[in-house]
Amino acid sequence: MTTEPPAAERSLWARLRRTVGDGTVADFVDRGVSHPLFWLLPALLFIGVFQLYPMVEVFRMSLTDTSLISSQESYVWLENYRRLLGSERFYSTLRVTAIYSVGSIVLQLGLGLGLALAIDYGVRRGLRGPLLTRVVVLSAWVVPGIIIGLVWRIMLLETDVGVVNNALGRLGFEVVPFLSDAGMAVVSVIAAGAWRGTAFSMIMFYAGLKRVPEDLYRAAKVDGAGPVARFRYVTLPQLKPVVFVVTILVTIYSLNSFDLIFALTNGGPGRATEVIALAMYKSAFESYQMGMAAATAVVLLVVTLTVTAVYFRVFDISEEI
Amino acid sequence: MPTDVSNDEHHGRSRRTVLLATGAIGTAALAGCAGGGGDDDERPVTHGRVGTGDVEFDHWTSAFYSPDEDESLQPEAASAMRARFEEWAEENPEYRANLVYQADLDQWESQLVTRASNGEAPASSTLDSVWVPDNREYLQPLNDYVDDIDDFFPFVRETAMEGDDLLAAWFYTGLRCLYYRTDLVEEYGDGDPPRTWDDLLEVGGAIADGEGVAGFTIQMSALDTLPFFWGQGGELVDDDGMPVLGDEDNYDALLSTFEFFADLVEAGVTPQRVGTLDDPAQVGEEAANGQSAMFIGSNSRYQISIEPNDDDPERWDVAEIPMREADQFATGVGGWTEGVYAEDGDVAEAAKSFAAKAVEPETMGRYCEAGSQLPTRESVFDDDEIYSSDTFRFQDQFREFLRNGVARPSAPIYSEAIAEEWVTAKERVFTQQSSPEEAVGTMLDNIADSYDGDVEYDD
Repeated sequence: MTTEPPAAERSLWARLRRTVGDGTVADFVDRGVSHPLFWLLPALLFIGVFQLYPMVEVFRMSLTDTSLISSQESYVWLENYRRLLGSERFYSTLRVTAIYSVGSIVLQLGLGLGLALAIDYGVRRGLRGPLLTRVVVLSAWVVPGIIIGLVWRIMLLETDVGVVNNALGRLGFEVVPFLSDAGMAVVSVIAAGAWRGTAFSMIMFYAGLKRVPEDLYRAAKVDGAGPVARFRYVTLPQLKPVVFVVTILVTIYSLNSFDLIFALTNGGPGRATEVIALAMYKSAFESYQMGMAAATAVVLLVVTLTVTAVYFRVFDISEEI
Repeated sequence: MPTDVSNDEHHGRSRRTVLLATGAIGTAALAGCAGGGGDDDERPVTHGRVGTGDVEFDHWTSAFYSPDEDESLQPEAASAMRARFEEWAEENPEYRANLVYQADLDQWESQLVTRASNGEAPASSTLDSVWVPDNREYLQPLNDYVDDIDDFFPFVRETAMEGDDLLAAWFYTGLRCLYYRTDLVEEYGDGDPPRTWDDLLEVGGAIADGEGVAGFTIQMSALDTLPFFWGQGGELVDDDGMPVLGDEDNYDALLSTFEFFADLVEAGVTPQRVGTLDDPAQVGEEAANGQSAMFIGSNSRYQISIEPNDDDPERWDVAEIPMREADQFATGVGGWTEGVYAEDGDVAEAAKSFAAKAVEPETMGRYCEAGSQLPTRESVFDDDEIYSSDTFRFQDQFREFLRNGVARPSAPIYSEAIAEEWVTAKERVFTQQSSPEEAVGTMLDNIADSYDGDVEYDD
């Protein structure tokens, strides 16, 4: 047995039934679902909560004297930026970061492209080994940076126990100060970073090479183009969007490098290999100066955005993307 | 097995290594034992709890100090911890301490400070002595619970006290000293260990030339080299915590210390590569393997690195750290403490009595003997019943050295800037990137920049 709803509810029920009957709710749902915002909402929420809010909070914190060892916090506005930009240490880390990034980009792009071309060559000619090569190179990419740093550190020990120095000693060379000489330490850090990052570049370039139509190579051959000419006038133009993407990603990754350097040299000797991200970590968790660390993070963000903008202008690939 | 955790500049790297390696176990222990929730065991002491009383409080600690041999990261000391806890539980049946194990030292340290600043700290915690300065604003006095404060070595009274208030129960310590090969010092010197820097340069250089090994090595931590500065009377900060290491008298001690570092490398006594040596175990093991003749190491370095790795460990001996002048003495000390954050009420009383128990002479002697550590009370050395005279091969010398112990200063600027800048400057000099004057100048500028206030070195 059903009971009759009270008058107010009866009225509401009647309106709802009428609405459904008229199709207004269905239309409303249809309109909502068909609006792009509905589908973008989860992503916007995710970005807002996990990316935009932390970014805003970091910027706010950079204007304060927040410290891990004090409950007091006050706004010092641009004081952290003034201290940062006025310190010799900042320019030292900026210089090291620039050297590390440029070295990493050149090596990772060069080696990645070289490996990708070699593998592509092997695949096109049905040679054995490209798969194994890809797996071996990729294994460097899946190992965490901290582990790679420790492994390289052991390899570069400056005694007979060090793998590299031991090998050099057997060949009659003196012990090479890979980590205790400031210049060599920078080279060592770049080499370790390139060893790890080359796999990523290789995979990206290899994927790009697979997209180059075979017809273009055949046409170039018919026109009399040799291997170098085919690379120059067919392969490179076809790879331009991939080069752009890889360059941007490797640059961003290099500018933010932290784990590998932390494990390999911890920024030393002195501060010879201290990059911006490592200086930021030390400000936050060794000196407890969260405000200063946040200011460093903001400056690093600005540097990264600026470099990316320059890339967009230099590459001029608006037609491709 | 003795550990080298007590006084490592980097907050106990050996301990950290073990903690990291057992991270999963630690996490499981946290999940299973934190707070002792749901523990219906009737025993007075378990891995997660001490006592069964109604007044309950959380005590943060490390699995190094577990009373359970199966759970402890230092099983040889578990029985001593158990005895301490059982005695306390029997003396205080109304109290119950829930042991909350911390698996990561850095997080532990930062959590303590952050929580304390928000008024959410645990009632009590075990603290590395180097954490005490950052926590001194929040630590509560233990004077009413700790007897005979004058019995502690001077460095405890100078570091863990604020005025007359004892803020931390420092229950063991460690020190730095010179380890040297007696056979080589006999062959290339007069047989006596180097007492001054000139002695060290002379005998170290002769050994390096004659044997083709490093004459002297040192780890890149502040605590290993600050004694060279402290021994000259150098001071890092004043009573207000302001950096004064650039003041006239201190500057002279500072510069001479860094000039000594430069001399070590230039004379070929110390290889440039020590500029990257930050692992105390590596320093000790290189020496045990015949790659160096002298080094600065902790009191437990002999048992950890030399004895197990050297075919003839008897050829090693220890001495006070060489100084600029023969009548100067200093050694760096560290160790772990118990501190209380609870301010009042039954919980504060319970936590304070729990912390104080750690520094009763019998408790301290028992733990130090079991864990191969050094007591912070001088009287403990006198009683063979509570602290065996055989705990260390060089025990009598260590007792003497402790009288000249200097702990890292109780000022936030030390951990915020001085320690890091000291190490950086030292690395730059050892790796010949900077002259001593440049390295010291940059260090002083950076420390002044980091200090929350105006620093004008009085020169």
